[in-house]
Amino acid sequence: MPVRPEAHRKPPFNWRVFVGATLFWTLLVDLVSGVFVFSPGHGGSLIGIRPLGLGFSAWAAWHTIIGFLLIAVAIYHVIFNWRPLVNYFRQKAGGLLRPEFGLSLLLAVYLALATAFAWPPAPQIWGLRTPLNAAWYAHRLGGETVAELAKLLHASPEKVLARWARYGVKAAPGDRLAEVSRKSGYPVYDLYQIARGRKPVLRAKGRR
Amino acid sequence: MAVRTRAKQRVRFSARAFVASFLLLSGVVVGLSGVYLYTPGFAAHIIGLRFLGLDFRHWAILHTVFSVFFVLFAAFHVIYNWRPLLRYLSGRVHAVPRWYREAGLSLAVVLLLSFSSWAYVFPAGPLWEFRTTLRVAWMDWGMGSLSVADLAKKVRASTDQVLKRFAKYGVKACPEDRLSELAERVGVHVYDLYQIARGRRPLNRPKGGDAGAS
Repeated sequence: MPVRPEAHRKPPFNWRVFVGATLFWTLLVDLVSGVFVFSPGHGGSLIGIRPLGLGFSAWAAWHTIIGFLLIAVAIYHVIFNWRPLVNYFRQKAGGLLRPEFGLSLLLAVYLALATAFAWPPAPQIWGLRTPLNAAWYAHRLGGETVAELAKLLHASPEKVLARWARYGVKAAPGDRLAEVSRKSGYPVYDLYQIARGRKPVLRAKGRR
Repeated sequence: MAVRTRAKQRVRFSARAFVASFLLLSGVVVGLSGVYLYTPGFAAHIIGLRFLGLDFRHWAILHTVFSVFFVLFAAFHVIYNWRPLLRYLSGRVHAVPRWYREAGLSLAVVLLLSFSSWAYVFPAGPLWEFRTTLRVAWMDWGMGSLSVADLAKKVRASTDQVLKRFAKYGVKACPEDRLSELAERVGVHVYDLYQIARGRRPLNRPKGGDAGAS
């Protein structure tokens, strides 16, 4: 039986490359979808912000499903690279853990504690939502009138105006939010929060 | 001389090892916190579950903070492993067709899952909806021992308001009734009672419920 020349033999499927490439694609998708789940998030969906035409639920579902695939391929990535990984953790002589592993463990523990006790950088990272949300809300609601905002919030324009009045904001039902924002000094996001009966977050020390 | 060099090499800090170690640790945290946010997710906030002493919001912050660091370190991981990565992509006979096949197939898998997520069809749709099944189980477990009056406090409504909402679905209850017993009596889950109390539509209609309630 003649042996097929090397060049014509179909190379076997390379699972390492497949896992590596899937890791790259899933990480990319989860990074992008993660940003949209982070901000505008669930609140954005309520006022009709739909980045790339997708609502919050679709972004969250996409992030989650691709996240599950990411976890699966990450496990395989670790299995395929187990030997070099163990060398990263363990000293060649004595079998003790390497200082690099200890340092990474320290960093991970610090980040976990930072989350629990609001130490830097956890509040700063989480706090990025507010300016991002402010930008989204200004973009979506800036051109809307007070009456349209009230409709979005399932409230009457009078109720919205009464809530604003408590913060010294004067407006009429036909006024555009961008204009009310310019006159009052409250960003659109704060006007939205006050209209919902919440406290303003960007200009917290507002007139009351 | 050779011994000294080897000894020196051993104490030299390896950024590559540090990055790989942190990626493994943060990957575990991101994965576990992600699963926690999937289930119990927001139900943890409703039933007051504080796993490892952290509430739902803290788990969300933990997931976000570790994800940011994970992405940063992943970028360095790619930089440190650029040479072996390039070796996969080029430089060998047959390397290019192999790369196209495997990377193309992986892209196809990711795109297929993405489309199924956007359209809520198999396999992403049922997997996403499974959250609801898990949420129902969490609520049955976490709220079953509460009374109707406790439930009213949870949903920030008066007990009378909740009882009226129950009545619309034909559910007769007293403020002291345990939710698990009430749910069993009317053939629904505690989650359904919670939804009705909030003024939302339940997943399952209570037995003998008023058809006009919607």
